[in-house]
Amino acid sequence: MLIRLDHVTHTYQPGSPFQATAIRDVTLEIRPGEFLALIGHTGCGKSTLAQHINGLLKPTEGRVLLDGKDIHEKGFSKKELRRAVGLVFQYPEHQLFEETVFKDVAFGPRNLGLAENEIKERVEEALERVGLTDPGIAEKSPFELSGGQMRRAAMAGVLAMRPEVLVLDEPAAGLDPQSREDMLQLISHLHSQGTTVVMISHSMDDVARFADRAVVMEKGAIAMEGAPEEIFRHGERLESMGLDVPSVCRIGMLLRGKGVACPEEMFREDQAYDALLALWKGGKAHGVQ
Amino acid sequence: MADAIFTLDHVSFAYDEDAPLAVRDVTLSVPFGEFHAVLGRNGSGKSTMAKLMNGLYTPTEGTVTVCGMDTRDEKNTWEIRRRAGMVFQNPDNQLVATVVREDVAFGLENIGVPTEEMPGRIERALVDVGMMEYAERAPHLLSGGQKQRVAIAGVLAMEPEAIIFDESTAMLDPRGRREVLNAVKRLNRDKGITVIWITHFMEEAVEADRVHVMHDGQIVMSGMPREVFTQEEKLREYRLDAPVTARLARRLRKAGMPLPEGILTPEEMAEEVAKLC
Ligand SMILES: Nc1ncnc2c1ncn2[C@@H]1O[C@H](COP(=O)(O)OP(=O)(O)O)[C@@H](O)[C@H]1O
Ligand SMILES: Nc1ncnc2c1ncn2[C@@H]1O[C@H](COP(=O)(O)OP(=O)(O)O)[C@@H](O)[C@H]1O
Ligand SMILES: [Mg+2]
Ligand SMILES: [Mg+2]
Repeated sequence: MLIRLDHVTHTYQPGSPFQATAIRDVTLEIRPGEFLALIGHTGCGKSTLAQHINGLLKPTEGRVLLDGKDIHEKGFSKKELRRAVGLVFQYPEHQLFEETVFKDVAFGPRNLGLAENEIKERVEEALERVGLTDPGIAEKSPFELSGGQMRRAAMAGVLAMRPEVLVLDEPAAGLDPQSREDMLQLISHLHSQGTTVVMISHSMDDVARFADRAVVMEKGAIAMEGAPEEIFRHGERLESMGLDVPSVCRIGMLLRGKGVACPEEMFREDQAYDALLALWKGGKAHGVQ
Repeated sequence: MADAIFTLDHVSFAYDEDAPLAVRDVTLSVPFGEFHAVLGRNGSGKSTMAKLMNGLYTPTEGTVTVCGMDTRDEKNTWEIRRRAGMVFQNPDNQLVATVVREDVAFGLENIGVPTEEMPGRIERALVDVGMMEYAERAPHLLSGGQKQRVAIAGVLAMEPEAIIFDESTAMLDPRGRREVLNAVKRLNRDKGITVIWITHFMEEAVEADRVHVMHDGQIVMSGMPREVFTQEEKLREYRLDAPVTARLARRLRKAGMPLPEGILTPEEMAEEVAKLC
């Protein structure tokens, strides 16, 4: 399944005094099976873009195409789109609304018209996957959950639809280190099973670890695009945009600033380990103490 | 201890009579003017301890004092809350007024500061967090980092001795986080304000005077950042992780690279590696 945003512009509340163009002339292809990271400063339009991918927002100009078909044309099945493309919102409280966690996760499958036992199976599987297995938790109100649990419940609701494309808007924000890691491992696992992933993130270490491709947005437009190693080669530019670079990337930038010939392909921990060891061994060979 | 702003002496706290202890047997003393970071997984008791430290909760057992005042003594309550302010996670829930200046004034009105004293206090507080030029703006139009700085100004205007930050950068992007943390470091350094900094970002704790790790209601590790972050196995046991640079430094040392112990930041790492090349 190929999704293509074709010259998409989105203006909120056009014609009102609050008119705001959030994304501008964005053209982007989401390739089957890829892990795409979407990065950029707050307010640059990431969440707006994300909501175009599953048709929740409609472009003011331009088109969103699924396998070549305009998703906003008459006759296009929105229902199929919603099933195939799951969006986990930035703020899970915007996504949860049922009385219990179970009902919330069941909402999507129920809308698909599945049989009751199939619904139950899917809900249980989804809750299991996100690790919401404490006894009684399925019968709790989603609003009694902690922030991290709420996010996992929202994620379960999307997983229960068994989407082919998973769009995640800052899925690890506000979680503690272990819950972050669990969430990232789950996403990475889903990706390895064939799910296409679009992940919005501020953590460049996570982008470096997981993404095949990164898109950097600035003021509503795509500013850079490429494999993480290409993006992070422009560390100074990212920093000038108010973004971080992976910690090990910073080590490399600082070393090069000191005149040390540290390789530019150093944005993951394992690469840094090899590169710094090699630098030391090289130094030793030249008799540095 | 006269030189400690906060003392917790064998403090335990339960939310209910039959609830498990959320904070158990914590003993801690924070000297005036220091910057202490508190780490720990969700549910480990950080927020509960924070609220014990400014008298929002009083201990089930043990004693908490703030500037020598027992938090259990009701006549101290308002003075303690004024001296030990608190800033929370979500900036949107903390700002109440329609103009930044009024928002900062809000707390002052509550404690009955004379009207003629207010403009001076508000302006000093806004200047201290670098937000004076936004005094007449609407808070909801500010970025997350700016909102948090306004929330800090609201606390600062009360002229506190200490500020407790409960995951105040959790919802911010990297730029917002840097803005807020830098503002707080400046307050600590230049104004001598004691800081309790609760966070999930290990990197934010590397420059603290001391780091405390909470687990299951207890303080299980305490020390200088270098002492705490070099104990990786122990950190993992408490479901935390050392900063990436610290982890990398340890692996490189293990491989025989003669790096000094206790490297925590990319700056320190680059400095040391450069010496070897
Ligand atoms: N519902 C809305 N109405 C009006 N403006 C909005 C709305 N949602 C977002 N915006 C504006 O659109 C821009 C992009 O926002 P958003 O897509 O949320 O960015 P990001 O997710 O990168 O932080 C911002 O300037 C924001 O204020
Ligand atoms: N208002 C409350 N009522 C009952 N239990 C609570 C309340 N707030 C926190 N707890 C419980 O106290 C323990 C410590 O929580 P908390 O101090 O919020 O931890 P942290 O801030 O480290 O996440 C947890 O088991 C939590 O469920
Ligand atoms: Mg967003
Ligand atoms: Mg907390």
